[in-house]
Amino acid sequence: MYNIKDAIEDIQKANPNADMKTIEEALINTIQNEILPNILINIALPKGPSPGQLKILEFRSRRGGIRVKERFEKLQKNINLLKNLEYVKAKLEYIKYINSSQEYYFYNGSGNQFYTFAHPDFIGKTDYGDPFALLDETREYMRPRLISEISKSFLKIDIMESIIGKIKEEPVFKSFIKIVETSLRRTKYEYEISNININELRDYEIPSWSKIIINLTSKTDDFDESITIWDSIQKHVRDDLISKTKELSEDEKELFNIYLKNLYFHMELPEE
Amino acid sequence: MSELIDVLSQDIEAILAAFNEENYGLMNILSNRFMANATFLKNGVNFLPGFIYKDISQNFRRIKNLRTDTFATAKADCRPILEKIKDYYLDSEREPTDLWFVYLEYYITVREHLLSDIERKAYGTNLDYTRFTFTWLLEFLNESKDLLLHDKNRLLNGILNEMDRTLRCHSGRLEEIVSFSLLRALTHIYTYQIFEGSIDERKKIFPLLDDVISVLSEDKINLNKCLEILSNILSEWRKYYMRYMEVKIMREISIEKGFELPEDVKEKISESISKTLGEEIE
Repeated sequence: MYNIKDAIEDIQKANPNADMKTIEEALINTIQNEILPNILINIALPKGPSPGQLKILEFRSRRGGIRVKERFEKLQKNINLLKNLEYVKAKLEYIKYINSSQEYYFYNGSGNQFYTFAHPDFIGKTDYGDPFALLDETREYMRPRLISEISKSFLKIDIMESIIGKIKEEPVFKSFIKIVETSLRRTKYEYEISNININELRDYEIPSWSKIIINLTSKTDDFDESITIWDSIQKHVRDDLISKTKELSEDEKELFNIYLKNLYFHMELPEE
Repeated sequence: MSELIDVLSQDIEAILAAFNEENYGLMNILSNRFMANATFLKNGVNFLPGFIYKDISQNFRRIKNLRTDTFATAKADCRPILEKIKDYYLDSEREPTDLWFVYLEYYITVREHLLSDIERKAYGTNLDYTRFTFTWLLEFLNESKDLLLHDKNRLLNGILNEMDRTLRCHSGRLEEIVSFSLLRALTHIYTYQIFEGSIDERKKIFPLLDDVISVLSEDKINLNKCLEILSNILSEWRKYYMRYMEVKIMREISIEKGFELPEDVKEKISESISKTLGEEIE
């Protein structure tokens, strides 16, 4: 599914000079003020159970065990959500109906004053409260999550001390690490990884022995999913590195292949 | 006096720690602090480390904000140069002007990370073109300098903008790094002169600008003289800061205004949220 990271990439392509703060604001404002109301106005809401059916389910839940009670509580929550959504939808449709200049307007009920929907003070000023209470709550709920998603979407990659000097001194190694980093940031599983560090293992008795270790920290607790992510990421990075070798001279290629041969991916796996 | 010099080396330690923590806002403040402390120490103090570290903090803020794919590599690549600036500064055997060469080394290293993918593929190193462009821009600045007295002019920023993108796309030699540094330092104080508002205050830019243009027009660049001028401008800038603190007139103009999201992005986000919400209420 299209996620925040995809959106940021697309916005950056369209606005290459915009900084992250501007993109963040534009994205959040558009979701809050434009996308969300449009979704709510157009959403097809399912019909909930009739009052009679609901009463029967309530009686059953009283007689049933814990699980039946929990299922009924969940159902009640969903019904409340539906009611609220229906209410917001109806009010938004009304606003759209009275809209005369391509903007959403809302009559505040106490006089003849109208506010544009996108006005930042709008929700606080309306006398109705209810129609947009849910929207307001949704906005408050969404904003910190959106900001957190945006900041999370830039993967944290640390290059460990042991490698820093080598990057400076060996151009081929630098080029190798650059591809590794770029590839890691472009894998479709970037979103599933919380942290990466790139390290080097050495044996000081055998100076030529060196292994580059990519330590991945997965967000998931699922064993099979972790295996899939680990497998996919290492294949993706290796493929990118192999395709780069075509552009290298013979000497560079030889070095590059040594690094490639000594590249390992490590991930702590959850228990099966 | 050695205790006073210790204060500057402590500033540098803090700057390096801020870089390692990726706290580039703090790194910028600490670099300014270095230059303020250098102002108190007056003669013979080299402002260049603070100036270079400030530039590094701004470049890395940009690299991180733009979510550059090679951010971690850039950091690893430049880290030893930050250490080198400190070592050179503390090594009394070295000439203060040696730091100009470290600055050039830093710029050449960071440049590839400041370019977009498309720019990186398209542009090579065109040093003669950069030299030509800088000469043209300095002449243009000299001819148009009276404009600096006008309210709405953006001459210095306009010149710097062209220099910045020319350096990024085509790279440059030491002379261009020095020219860019001197003009950028000049912009720091010009911001305050515009803010202060009087014509007399604005006219104070001219002797400094003449010094800069004159030293940059010499056949062979005089690195000592350039360092002296830079330190003088930066010292004046820190004094302006003490008088007026932070002023935002230039920055406000340069901030990119909010923009409309592309329609296809709106549609895709909309689809995703609809789908999630649909699943939730099913």
